[in-house]
Amino acid sequence: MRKNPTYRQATSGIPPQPETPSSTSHAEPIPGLLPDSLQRMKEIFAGCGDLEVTAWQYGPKLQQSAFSVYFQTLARSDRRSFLRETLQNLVFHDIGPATEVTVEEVAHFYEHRGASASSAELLATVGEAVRGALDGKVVIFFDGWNKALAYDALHLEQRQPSEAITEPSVQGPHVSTIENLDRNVGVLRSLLKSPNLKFEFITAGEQSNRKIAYGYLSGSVKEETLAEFKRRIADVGQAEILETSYLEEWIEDSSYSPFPQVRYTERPDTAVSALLDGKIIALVNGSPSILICPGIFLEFFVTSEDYYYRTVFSSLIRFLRMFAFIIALMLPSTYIALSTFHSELIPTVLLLAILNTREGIPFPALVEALIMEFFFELLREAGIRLPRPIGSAVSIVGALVIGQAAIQSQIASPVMVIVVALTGIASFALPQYNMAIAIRILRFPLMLLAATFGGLGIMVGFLLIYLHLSQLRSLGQPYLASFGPLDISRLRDTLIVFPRLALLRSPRNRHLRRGGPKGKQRA
Amino acid sequence: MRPLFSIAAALLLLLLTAGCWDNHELDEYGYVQAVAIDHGEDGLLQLTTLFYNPSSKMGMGEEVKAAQKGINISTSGKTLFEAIRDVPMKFGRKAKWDHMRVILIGEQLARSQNIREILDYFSRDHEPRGTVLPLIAEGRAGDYLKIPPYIEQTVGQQYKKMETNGSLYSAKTTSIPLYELAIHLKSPSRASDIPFIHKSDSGRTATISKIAMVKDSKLVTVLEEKDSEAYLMLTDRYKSGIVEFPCLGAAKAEINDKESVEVISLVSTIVPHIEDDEVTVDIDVRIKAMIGELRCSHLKSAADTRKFESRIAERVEERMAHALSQLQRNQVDVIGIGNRLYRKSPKLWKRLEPSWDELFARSRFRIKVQVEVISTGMNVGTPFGQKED
Repeated sequence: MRKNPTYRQATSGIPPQPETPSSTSHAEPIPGLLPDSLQRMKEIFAGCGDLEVTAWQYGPKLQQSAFSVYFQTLARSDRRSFLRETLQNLVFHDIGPATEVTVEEVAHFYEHRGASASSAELLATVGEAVRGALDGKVVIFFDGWNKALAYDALHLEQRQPSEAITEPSVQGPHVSTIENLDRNVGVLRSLLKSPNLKFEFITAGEQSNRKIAYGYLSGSVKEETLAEFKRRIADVGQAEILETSYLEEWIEDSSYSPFPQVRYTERPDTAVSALLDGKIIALVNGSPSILICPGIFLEFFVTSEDYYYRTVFSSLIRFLRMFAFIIALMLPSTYIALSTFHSELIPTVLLLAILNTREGIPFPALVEALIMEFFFELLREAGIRLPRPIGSAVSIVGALVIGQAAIQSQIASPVMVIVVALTGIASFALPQYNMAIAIRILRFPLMLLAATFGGLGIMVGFLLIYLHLSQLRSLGQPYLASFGPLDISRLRDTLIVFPRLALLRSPRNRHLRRGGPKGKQRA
Repeated sequence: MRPLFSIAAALLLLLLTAGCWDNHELDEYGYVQAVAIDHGEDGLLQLTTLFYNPSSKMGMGEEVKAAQKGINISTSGKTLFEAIRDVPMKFGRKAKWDHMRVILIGEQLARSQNIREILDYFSRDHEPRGTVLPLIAEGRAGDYLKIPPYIEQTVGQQYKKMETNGSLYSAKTTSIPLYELAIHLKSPSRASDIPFIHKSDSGRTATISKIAMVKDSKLVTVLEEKDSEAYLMLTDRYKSGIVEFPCLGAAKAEINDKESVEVISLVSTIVPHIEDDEVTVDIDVRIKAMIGELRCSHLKSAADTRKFESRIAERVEERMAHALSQLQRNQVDVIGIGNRLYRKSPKLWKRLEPSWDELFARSRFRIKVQVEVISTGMNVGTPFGQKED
C-alpha cells in the first residue's frame, strides 16, 4: 500500500513554506558586485548567530576587496584564514607581473583549475554558496567576479566506531558503523573491493539536505528488484529523512503489516554479506543503521555470526530461534486456551500442579495474562528509556512486583509468571528487534481469540497470520520465500546451515557460478 | 474504509455470539480423581466421588496434609448420571471427569448388577477417558477413597499406579482400561477380567492384587494371587514377574525351601481342537528366565541346568492346571477359547455357543512348558557364599 507523496509531506511535520529566502534563490547567480552579494548573504542568513562574515582587502595596495562567509561552529579554526591561502596559491604560478594581484587573475586561475595546495570549489549561484556554507565550507566572494570560492573546512566531533551496541557478537568483527555516511560507505568499500559494488547518492529534504546512499552489488542483485527499488525511492528527495528507518515506508510493500519487510544492521560484515546475497542496502548520513532490503521472513532468524560457527551448532541455534518465535507468539494464548477450554489436554499431574497455583486467583486466565503482559511491557518500556543507573532499579522493582508480590498477594499465579517470563525471554532470543515487535503485537489478538474460541481460535488466528505472510511481498519478492514458493536449493541456508562448501553452490554465490546476469551476456 | 469496518463489526459479532460458551476457568470445576460405585439404600446407586483439593502453597508455611488433598462427595440416584448431576448440590462445583484415574465398583454391586449398565455412562459421556481403569473392590468401594495416599497427590492416582506398575512388575493382577473391557465383554466368550482391590485387616491400607472374573457382565469369582499369575501366563499377558519353585527333595520342615527366577520373556500359544464336541486345548508356554535367588541348587553343568529348568516347568504347569481348574469350575472362559473357535469357524461356534459353558468345563488341557534359564545373574550358579567348584 503506497501512500501518495503529498500526504506524506504533510505528515513529515514541516509545512511547505513557499517564500523563505533560502529556498527560492537556488538558481540565482551571484551578483558581481561585492555590496550586493554581501547584502544577499546577510538577508539569507539573518538570525544565524554563528555565521561569520568577514571583509578583506588584498592586493599590493589593498585596493581589492573580498569577503568570506562561514559558520564558526562548523569550520575548523586553522582553515579559516582562507583568503591568504587563496592568494598564496597564486604565488607559485607565473600569471604575469606578480606585482599586482587583480580579481581577474584570481578568477582566471581558478576558472582554469590551477593546481593548488588545497582544493577550492567554484560556486556560481547563491544557492550553491548557501549550501556550501551550511556544509561547513568557507565561501569567499570577490568584488567584480560573479563566482565564489569555497574551501572545505568542515570539522565535527564524531563518535569513534565502537562495538556494535545493538548487535554484539562473540566471534567475528566487533566494529560498528558510525553516524557518518562517507565513513560507513568507505568501510563497506574496503571490505568489498569490487567495481561491482555500486553506491548512488541522493539528497533529501529541502531543509535538512540529508545525504542518503544506497548500494548494491551489480550481478548479484536481481534486476527487477533493483528497478523496483529505484522506482520507489525516486521521490524520497522531497521528504525530510532524519533516520534510516524513515526510508522504510518508501521501500516496504505494506505499511500496516506487523511484519517488518526490511532489516537493519550496524555491522559492516552483516551489510557485506547482505550485499553478496543480492540485497540492496541504504544508509542515511547521521545514522549508524544500515537498512537491508528486501527482507524475507527467514532472514529475520539469521545473524552473520551463524556463519562464523560450526555448521551443526548454527543449525541448532536456528531451530532454537524458530522455536523461540513460536513460543513468543503462542505460549500465552496456548496456556489460556488449554486452561479455559481444554483442561483435558493437560497431563493430569501437571494439571494438579497448575490447580494448586491457580486456586484463589480472582481473575480469569485471560485477564491474568493481560495484567502480567501489561506489567512486563511496562517494565520493558521503562527500562529502555531510563538512564543506565536507574535502569537496574526498575528491574529490581519489577522482579519484586511481578515475581514476588503479585504471586504472594494471589493476583497472579506462578504458572502465569512463568508463561509471561518465558514469552519475554523467547522474544529477546530473536536477532532482529523488528520481528520481536511484530510478535509482541500479534500476541494479544491471539490471546483474545484463545479466550473466546480456545484452540480453534488459535488455529484461526495462526491461519490468518499465515495467510497474511504468504500474500505479503517484500520489494516484489514473496515474503515466505524458500518455503513458499518452495526452493529446495535455498533451503540449505534456512533452518539448517549447510557447511560453507555446500553454500558455495547456493544462490548467494550465483554470480560465482554463472558470472551473474552480465556473465551470461559475455558468454 | 467501509468494507474494513463491516468486517470488523462482523468479527466482533462472531466473537460475542459464537465465542466463550464453553469457556470455563480451571477453578470453576472440581476435578474428579476417582469414583466408587456401590449399592445404596432402596436399590439406588451410591456414588462416591473423589475430588482433588487444590491447595496453594503460597503464603502458608505449613505443609498441607495429604489427606486434605482429596474430598469425597457422596450422592445417590437410580442412574449414575442422576447421581453425578447431584454433585454440585453438595460440592458447589461441577465435576470434571477428564482426569479420573480409576473407577471402583463394589463387590456386592458387581455380583448383583450388570457391570455394563454401570459403566455405560463412563464410556458414553465425552469427558471420561477410555483409558480409565475399572477395579472391583472388596466390600464397599466408597471406603477405599478414604484411605490417604502415600506419595501421590490423590489416592486415585495411587491406585492407578498400583494397578499399572503392580501388573507390570509382579504380575499378580492385571491392568485393563475401560475400552478394552468393553471389547472383552462383547466378545463371543462374554468374559473378562478386572483387577481386584482389597483392604488389609486393619482397613488402613489397600492392595491391588488378584483378578476378578467377570462373566456375562457379572462378577463370578476372584482368582487368588498365584492363580492370577498362572492365568496371566496362559493368556500371554505376563510381562515380567517372579516364579517361585521348591527345592528338589527339600525337607518340608525347612523354611527356606524355595528358589526364584525372574521371567524375562514369556510367550504362550493356545490352540483349541474340537472333535465330536470334545474340546482339547494345546497350551504351549516358552519362558526365558534369569535366576533370581539360589538356595539349594548348584548349576555346574548343562545337565544340572536342564534339571533345574524342568523343575521350574513342572511347577508352572502345576500352577496353570490349578488356575484352569478354577476357571472350569466357575465355567468362565476368560482365556478366550470360545473367541478362538469363533474366529476359526463362526458356523461351528453358532452350534457350540448354547452349550459352551459345559463344554468349557469339560474340555481337556494339554499344557507344555519350556523353560530356558539364560543367565545366572551377576554370580555363578551356586548359592551365595558357597564354594564354586
